[in-house]
Amino acid sequence: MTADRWTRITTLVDAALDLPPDHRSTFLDTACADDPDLRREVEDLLAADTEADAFLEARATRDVERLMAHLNTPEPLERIGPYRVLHVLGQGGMGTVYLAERADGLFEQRVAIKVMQPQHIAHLDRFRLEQQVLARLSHPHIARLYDGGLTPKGAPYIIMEYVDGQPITDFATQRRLTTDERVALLLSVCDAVQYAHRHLIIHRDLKPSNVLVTSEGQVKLLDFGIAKLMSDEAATITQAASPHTPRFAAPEQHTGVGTTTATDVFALGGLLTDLLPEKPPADLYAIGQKAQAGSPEARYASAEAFADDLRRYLSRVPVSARAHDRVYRARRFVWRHRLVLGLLLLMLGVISALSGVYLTGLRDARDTAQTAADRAEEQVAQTEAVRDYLVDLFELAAPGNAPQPLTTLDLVDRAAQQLDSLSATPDVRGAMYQTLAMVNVRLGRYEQALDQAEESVRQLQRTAPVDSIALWHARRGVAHAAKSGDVWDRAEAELRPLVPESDRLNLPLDDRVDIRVMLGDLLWRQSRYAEAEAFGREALRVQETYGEAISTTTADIANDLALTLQYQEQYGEAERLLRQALALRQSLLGERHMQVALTMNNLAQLLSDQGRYDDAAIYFEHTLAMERDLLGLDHPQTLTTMNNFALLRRYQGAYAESEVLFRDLLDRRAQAIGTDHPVYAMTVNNLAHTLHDAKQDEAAEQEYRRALRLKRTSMNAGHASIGITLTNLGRLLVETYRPVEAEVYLTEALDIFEARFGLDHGRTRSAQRWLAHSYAATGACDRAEILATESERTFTRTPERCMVD
Amino acid sequence: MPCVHTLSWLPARQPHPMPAPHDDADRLLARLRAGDDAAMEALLPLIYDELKAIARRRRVSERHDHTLNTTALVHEAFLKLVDGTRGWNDRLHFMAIAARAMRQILIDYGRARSAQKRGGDWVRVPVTLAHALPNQAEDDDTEALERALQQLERLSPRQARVVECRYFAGLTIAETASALDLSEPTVKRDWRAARLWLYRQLQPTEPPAQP
Repeated sequence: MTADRWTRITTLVDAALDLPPDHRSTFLDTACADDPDLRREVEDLLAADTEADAFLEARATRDVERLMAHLNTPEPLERIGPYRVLHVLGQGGMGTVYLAERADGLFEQRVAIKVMQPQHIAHLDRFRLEQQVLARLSHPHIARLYDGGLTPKGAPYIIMEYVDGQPITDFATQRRLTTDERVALLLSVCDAVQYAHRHLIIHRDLKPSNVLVTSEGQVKLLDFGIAKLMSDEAATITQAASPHTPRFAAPEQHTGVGTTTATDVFALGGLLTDLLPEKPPADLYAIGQKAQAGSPEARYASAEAFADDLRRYLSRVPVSARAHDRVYRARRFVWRHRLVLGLLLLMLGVISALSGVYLTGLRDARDTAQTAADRAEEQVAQTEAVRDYLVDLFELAAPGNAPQPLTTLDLVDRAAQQLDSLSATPDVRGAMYQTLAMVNVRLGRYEQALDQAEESVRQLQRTAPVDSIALWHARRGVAHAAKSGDVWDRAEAELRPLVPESDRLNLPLDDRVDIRVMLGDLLWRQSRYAEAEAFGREALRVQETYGEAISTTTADIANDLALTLQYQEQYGEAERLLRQALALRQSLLGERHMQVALTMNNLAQLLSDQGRYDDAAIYFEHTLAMERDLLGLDHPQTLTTMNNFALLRRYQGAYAESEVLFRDLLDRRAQAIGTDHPVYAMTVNNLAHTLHDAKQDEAAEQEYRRALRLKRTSMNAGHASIGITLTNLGRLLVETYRPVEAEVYLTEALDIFEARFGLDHGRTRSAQRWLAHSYAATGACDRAEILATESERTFTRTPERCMVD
Repeated sequence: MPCVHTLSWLPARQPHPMPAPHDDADRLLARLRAGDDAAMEALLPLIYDELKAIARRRRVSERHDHTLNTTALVHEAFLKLVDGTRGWNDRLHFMAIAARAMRQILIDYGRARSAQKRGGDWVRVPVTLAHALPNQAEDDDTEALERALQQLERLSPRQARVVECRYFAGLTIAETASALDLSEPTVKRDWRAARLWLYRQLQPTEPPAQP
């Protein structure tokens, strides 16, 4: 047939179909009069009219069905990338896992390759993106994801670390682990889950077969976040086809409400239940129940909170999961008020010590019988007064005797009130006020602490004869309270005379060293590093000359001195001192101790300051792990390390991770110290700085301004930290072409730094240079040139970067 | 300006390009509309991939629903690949090409099936995968459809396009007209004849025996 003929047929068919069927024959008689073949062909087609549409519709539908079937066909595998497939390791709803080894013989490496059924994959771009995110997870307890891609037939695959191990539950059974050992094993799992959650990755499918333990006892989590690579439909189908055991899949996974970190917490609870004997200890049972609560809100807020409770169980400390248990609550009451109970015991100690002094006094002074009787009577009266006072407090503290559960603060306040009406001698009262002041410092209530410390001094001055040593300690208490409350002038005024007096009174060495360390620390806090260094060196000299060189005290002094040197950029000696302090603390306190962690953090920070980031990262990670285990994640010391680690990540260019860490840190700090604390403001500055480096200028500016506002209200004017934020904000304004406003901030920053550090300091130079930029941008060329020349002159090779708190 | 020289290390802001996810298909479509036919060749594989991806997902979500609508399928591909704010006309142009891609997928399916029948490279495979092969008893008539379409292409390329749009993308007469820049009566006339012709070509040569 030719195209022309077909065109004719087309026209005829069209025309005929417009006619009623019984008219068509007549029409064709005329139209095809000279061509019977043409007429036959057209009639043949017209005859199909009644069936064609239905046929084609059915056929089209079926073809698409077939097409789907085609796409659904799994493909054979022998080789994937550079790997030769050895055999199937396992098969699941989402695909098949193969063991493979490198085919090019370059490395002896075995890997696990998971090939997913194509239809389970959501958008391919998303698959690639997620895969990249997962590849960044690097944790000793998480099987690494090395690579991923598509097979020639389009099936997505991922190449993972091959783990030769057995499911955690089998491992525990086979090795006959004790309950504590099982819990410890699960803590490793929690560790990995927490790590992933910090990287915003949820596992979604935690179960024993995904938690393997190697023969060396190393926990490895498989398939982290793999579930996320799946399309939502696929996830639903998979669940419908092979329902998860309810122990591991959280209810929200069935209802499709959405998975969160709480989903993994639920699964962790399932793992715990599976690891425990049928009748588990009550605490562990409660922990498992709480983790597996039906609604996500009722579960632990995080994998970390779950782990914290497990750790509490291991150290036989009350667990939070049983907080509503009645007997338990009573026990917890004691726990909560341990500080006050400790205080009461301390007071008892004070009283008995004082009694001891009296008794000794009686013996040694060979008082007359009359005096002795008076003294004894007085002593009995004192003891009784104090005892009544304590009994009152105890009664108040007992559960059920107050309309509402008393807080620790209530108790301390009550203790202070009753102390006013206590009839006791000035020395007893002085000692008790001093104790209360210490407690209030620990509670962060510095004003009350300072009042009470002052009261203790007043009381002791009333004794006759004045006990100079007791008075020295009371004044030290005032200094301590003032320093803790950032009343620096007052603290310094109190501390300075105490240094020579400690020598004159020939106080024990510890006190003499301690008072110097304290003064050094006070000066350091005010950025007066050179002065601080002088006291640090003197403390070290006193300690090494008169005391034990191999001692924790030496370590303490060396640690603090190193910090003053670090801030003056004397890195060499600072590092030597820190390593000395670290070695001392490790050998005297053990490898795992919060003091060890502290020095290690400082060392890591020092390395980071020198640009030795990889070394720094190792120390930071070590420190964080130690502090998390020893102190928990919300402890101020842990938070400081987190801050420093987040800074390091920024220096390393991992901005997203740095931002996540800082935001997490800000939440924790807001909870712990509130948003009007100077440290909170510093953290805001650091977050802003990360945003700045990540070129998120608008967000950075907003946070710098917030940091500045917070610092101005929470810090003394002229504080170096304010200068830091001023410089950073000024720099950002220069960069975003707003030099006029920048000039205002940078000038203020320069004034602060010049006054604090002088001209030859990195911070001063940095402020100078950015100010020069802003001058240049506003056209004040000569001023810019002078400033730039001056800055260049003193400029040694310091890396140019924003300042951190 | 000496001061500018002194301060040559004033920070330069790096402009960084923002890749748009729909850029490729979008740009190609614009080129196509501007009369660049080569753009169609470039667009086809993109759509092909997307259709396959969507088809895979649909297979899962609608495994019990046999009234799978090809229009919906192609539509989804459009939304994935092209900026959703584009007009209806672009959408239809896209669909015409998508219909071609569907046709290509079906050809691949036919090839894969005949390869399996001949025992292709499947046999040596050491691993057995979960899913069953497609039903071997099915009539293998995808090749017949393709043969018919190729014949039609020789007789009237325009009608072949119309069939693609109607058969693979499920477009209406009006939509097909827009998609192919034809008038509605032309499309209607083409379709009327072509579908009958197609039906005749695809009829089993030996109808099942009647009792």
